[in-house]
Amino acid sequence: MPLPQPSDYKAITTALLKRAAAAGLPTSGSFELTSRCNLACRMCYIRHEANDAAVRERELSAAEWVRLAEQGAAAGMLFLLLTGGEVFLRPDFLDLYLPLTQLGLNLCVFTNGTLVTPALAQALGQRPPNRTEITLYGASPETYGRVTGHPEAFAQAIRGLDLLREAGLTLAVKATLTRRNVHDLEAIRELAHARDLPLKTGWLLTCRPDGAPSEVYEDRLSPEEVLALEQTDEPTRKQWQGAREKKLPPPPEGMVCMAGKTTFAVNPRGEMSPCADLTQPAVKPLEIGFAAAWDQVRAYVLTVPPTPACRECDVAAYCNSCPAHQLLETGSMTTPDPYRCAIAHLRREAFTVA
Amino acid sequence: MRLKNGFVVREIAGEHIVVPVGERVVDFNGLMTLNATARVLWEKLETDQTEADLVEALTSQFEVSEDTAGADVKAFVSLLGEKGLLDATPAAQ
Repeated sequence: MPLPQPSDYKAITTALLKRAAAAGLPTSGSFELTSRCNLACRMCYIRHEANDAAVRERELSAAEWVRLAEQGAAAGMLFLLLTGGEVFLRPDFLDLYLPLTQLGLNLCVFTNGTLVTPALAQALGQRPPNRTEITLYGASPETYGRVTGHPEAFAQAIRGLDLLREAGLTLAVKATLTRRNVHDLEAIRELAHARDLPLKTGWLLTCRPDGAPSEVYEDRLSPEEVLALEQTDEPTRKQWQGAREKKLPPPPEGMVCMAGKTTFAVNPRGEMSPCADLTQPAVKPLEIGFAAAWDQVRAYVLTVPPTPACRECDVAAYCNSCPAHQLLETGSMTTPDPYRCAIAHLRREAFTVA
Repeated sequence: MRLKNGFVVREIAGEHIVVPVGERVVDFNGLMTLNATARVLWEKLETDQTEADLVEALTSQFEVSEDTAGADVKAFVSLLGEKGLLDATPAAQ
């Protein structure tokens, strides 16, 4: 009689998300607790000033977030990400977080690490998130100054990282790479390696969904710079070398990811959308009920049309564009994103295995 | 023996998933799926059980010999013990 064998975590979660998507369940959510941040990254897609009172006033309260999480769990939510902005800017973070640890959720927290105190680390250590990811923006005060406007934040981030590590949290380091810090990648890798922590890197940046200005177009890597970086990163190289095998889904599907099928995002004002890059349909679960809001998000993604040009494109297998990015880059969900198009063409040249 | 406190079983899309909560995440940070057999054993182990109790639970609910049930119980208990999910001390009456 078969018994469960230990399976790897990724295999369980991948299979579960597929089943949940087929069943239309909202298994994986992200709560943007605030858009405010104590750093001022030039390329950020969300930030407002840390002391912006008008923005702060529109944020959900801790009790509202807990209520939303309870409703989400009742509807099938298992994975919950707490992100921002900078989540630890909220003085009520523990009032919000600790009740969530009793709901049977797999919790992940994203932070820049700069506001971690010994008391906070200790509290988190006693009831830890399943995963905490700290984003580093460089490996020196100079680089932090160039990217975030706060050179002192480098030491603060490392101190925060080390406090959380000493408190026993399961951690990963992330690096968001731009032209202003990509030269620090090896040093960031060494920082993570010295602490025996995994490193995740990201460099495909886009503009703010709310339409406010950022320096992303100046600072993000050019398509050529993206390829130079991808060719030095083994997992990325392997991913694109196997790209010829990738099959696109049949039409008329426009949204090919899990957004609105089993994943969702809630912004600081309590508005739900399929993902953080989409500002629609922005339904309010705390007003209309979680199930009704999720139904509207699911219905919305079914209305997203495919991009005709992409269906005919001969480098589609090397592209990771999506309607959300296309909307942000071009103003239309069905117009190809020139930035990602250029990257896809360069990938095919670089990674095609003869 | 019985399960340690601090686990909930979530049913999602037909899967039964063991999730550690609160302080339990400190020593078990992961997820475990339970098939039909494991669900029966897990539910029993929420209170104090002997291996014989667990064997009896399987043989009464499934068409399986005592020997097979016994082997399965030993394997399951061993797995739970290895992952640190079991409290071997009998619960106070």
